[in-house]
Amino acid sequence: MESTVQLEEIYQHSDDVVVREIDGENLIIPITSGVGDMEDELYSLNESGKVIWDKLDGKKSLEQVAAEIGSEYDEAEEEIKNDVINFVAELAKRNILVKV
Amino acid sequence: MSKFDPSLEIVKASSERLLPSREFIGLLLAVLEKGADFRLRAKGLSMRPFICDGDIITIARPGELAVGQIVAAEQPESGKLVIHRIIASRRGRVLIKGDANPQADGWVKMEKILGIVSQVQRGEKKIESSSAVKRRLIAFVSRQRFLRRVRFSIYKRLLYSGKY
Repeated sequence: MESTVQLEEIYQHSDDVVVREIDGENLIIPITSGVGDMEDELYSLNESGKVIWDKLDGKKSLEQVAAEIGSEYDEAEEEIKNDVINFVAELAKRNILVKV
Repeated sequence: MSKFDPSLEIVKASSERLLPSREFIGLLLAVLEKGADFRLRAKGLSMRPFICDGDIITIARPGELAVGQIVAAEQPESGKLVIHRIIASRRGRVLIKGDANPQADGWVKMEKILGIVSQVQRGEKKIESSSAVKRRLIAFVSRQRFLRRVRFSIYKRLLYSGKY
């Protein structure tokens, strides 16, 4: 399925998630129907995912986020944009990120 | 520069790896502070037969605490998360113990109790809570040292009715 997330959009962390670093792992537990389900809904971000996560502050567009990352990593601009869009779409689908 | 390759993974069998971690308690508290319940998979045999290895436990914010309740707490000695029963209460503190363990974990201040077990699920089946009277009776048997050898048998024969 094609991603509906656009580069000009702005995203922020949902209020209904808890994020904690445990043993060097960045863990996200969404609160769904009043329950934080450690067994079925615990997610881990890798280092690159954490970079995007930290930049999603509800103010910057995804294009700005991708540009910032482009200045920090030696990757093709288009590739970074695609990575950001796909990653945000994945988290938005799970209500971990919400569109501003 | 390192390669940029973001990913989101679903963490499997997480309880086994993370449960012993002290930081895990922070995760539990953060969920409860949001007013939500916390579900996790039980590990170990210390609460047999009432809670078995692999049962899914729901932990809710603690309300009024009573002897016989099963609670989530930081074990006084190790600082690790335990899900054990209150077997005595005195001057704002509670004594917690795993039903199948020979010894109590120690006294814990009531305000240090992280949550109470509000539901136990075994496979597809939701296990009901025992009555308050029965929970007190289980706590009484649990704290009798001289009954150590026959305790499990007592639980199984007299007190365990498929409820926690």
